[in-house]
Amino acid sequence: MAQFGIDSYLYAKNSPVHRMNPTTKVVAVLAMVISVAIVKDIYMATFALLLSFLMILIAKLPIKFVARRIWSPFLFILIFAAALLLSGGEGEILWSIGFLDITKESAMDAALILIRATSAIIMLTVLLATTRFDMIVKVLYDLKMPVFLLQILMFSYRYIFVFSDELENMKNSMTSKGFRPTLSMRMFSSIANMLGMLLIKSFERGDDVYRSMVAKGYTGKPTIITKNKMHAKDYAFVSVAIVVALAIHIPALVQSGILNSWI
Amino acid sequence: MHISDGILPTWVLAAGWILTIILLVVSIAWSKKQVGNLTEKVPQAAVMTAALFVACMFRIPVPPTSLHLMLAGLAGIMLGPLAFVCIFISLLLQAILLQFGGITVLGVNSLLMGVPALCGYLVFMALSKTKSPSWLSGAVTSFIAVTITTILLGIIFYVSGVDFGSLGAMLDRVSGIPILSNIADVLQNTPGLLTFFMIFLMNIPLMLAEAVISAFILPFIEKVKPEMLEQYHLKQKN
Repeated sequence: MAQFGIDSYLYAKNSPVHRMNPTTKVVAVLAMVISVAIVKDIYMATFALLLSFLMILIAKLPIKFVARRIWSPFLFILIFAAALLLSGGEGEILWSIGFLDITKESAMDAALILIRATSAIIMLTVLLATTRFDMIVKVLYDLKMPVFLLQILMFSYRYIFVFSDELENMKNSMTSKGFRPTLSMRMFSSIANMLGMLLIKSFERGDDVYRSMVAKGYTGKPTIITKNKMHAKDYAFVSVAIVVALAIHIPALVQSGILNSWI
Repeated sequence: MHISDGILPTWVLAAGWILTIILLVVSIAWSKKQVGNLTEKVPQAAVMTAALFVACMFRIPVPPTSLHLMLAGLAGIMLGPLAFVCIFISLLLQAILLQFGGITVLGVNSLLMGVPALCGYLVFMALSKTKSPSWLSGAVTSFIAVTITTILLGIIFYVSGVDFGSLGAMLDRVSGIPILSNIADVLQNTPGLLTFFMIFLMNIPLMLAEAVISAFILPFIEKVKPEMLEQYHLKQKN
């Protein structure tokens, strides 16, 4: 189960971010993430990156933990930034490495994307490392996510841990019987049988789960018993977050001239 | 596929969300038409989603490296029209649990995997009517699913401004060589073709691996638990 240990720091640490009302936290961070993900001004993106570092500090999360969490998505961001660096063939040439000409415009694009994508992912990591999953489900329910989707979300969450343990067991027993990964049809066939077995187990389990739920009075409507009521200071915090989220777009709007007709 | 937040332009993200919401509504209605009561389907679909999630996390060792499967085609075969809903949920969970993908790109990512899953369902349905053996239908379905993902990914990258223009300039310099120069010309002068070419190149191992794995999984399921593929009326072997 270790590979899904996002909850591991939840109880270990106590910070203002951990204590914050979940709805407040989710709405505020979502507003920021959406805003940061589409910001066009590189200085504002840098400001957001600093803000995200500040969030790590306030939440008292170890840097090592955050770095490990964002490592693989960060690799993808790097690859995409590199692809963007190689795009836009025309313009002022900044560097010329061997056969490749890198233009100033594409370098700026790549830098902007690198910065804003990293800050978005750090903010999301801080949110998810300090909020329990059932709280997130409750917030999604309050935000009117359709019940049908929410139920699939809750059940899948539960069974991911069950099946990841089961797969681990199957993997261990295969290794102990002498299975070694080599690039051959035999390897593919063994792995396919293992994954097929996982699907079959899940199919059988699905039936059992449904019958036992009906026995417990399942009607298709969820009853969520966790409560979180928002107070005046929560509304104030959300408002500040939304204002900041909107404000970081002002420079780009001024630059594009949309705001000039107003001011 | 997990494109992260902050990479794609705003209008692509918005279009992705709008199309995803439309497809969610359509696929839920489609599924309702097939089974009637969707409440019964919730646990089965959720448990299958979890299993596919875990199977996708599994690293297939392809020496010297390893790759993750996408299993969109298989999701389509197993879940039918609900596959789109389940892939949406599975990607949401990946964003929540592992920070793969993100919130603003959830729409685009769902399209990248959900559309191939729905197509996979239709392809497998059509193939099983032709009485082709299950390993062949499975392999073809998965291959087509990954190909559709690749094409969609190419379109999304291209409209987001990734055109590998510098590589085009590099191709200019090899134009002395007879055959290469013809290929370079075509690649450079057709808009978007260079992007497709690069992404296609990167996805070839995945296409082959998925096709081979599916070619083994489907006969296995057909042998061990034929009820799972009941709706396709596969030819029974005795």
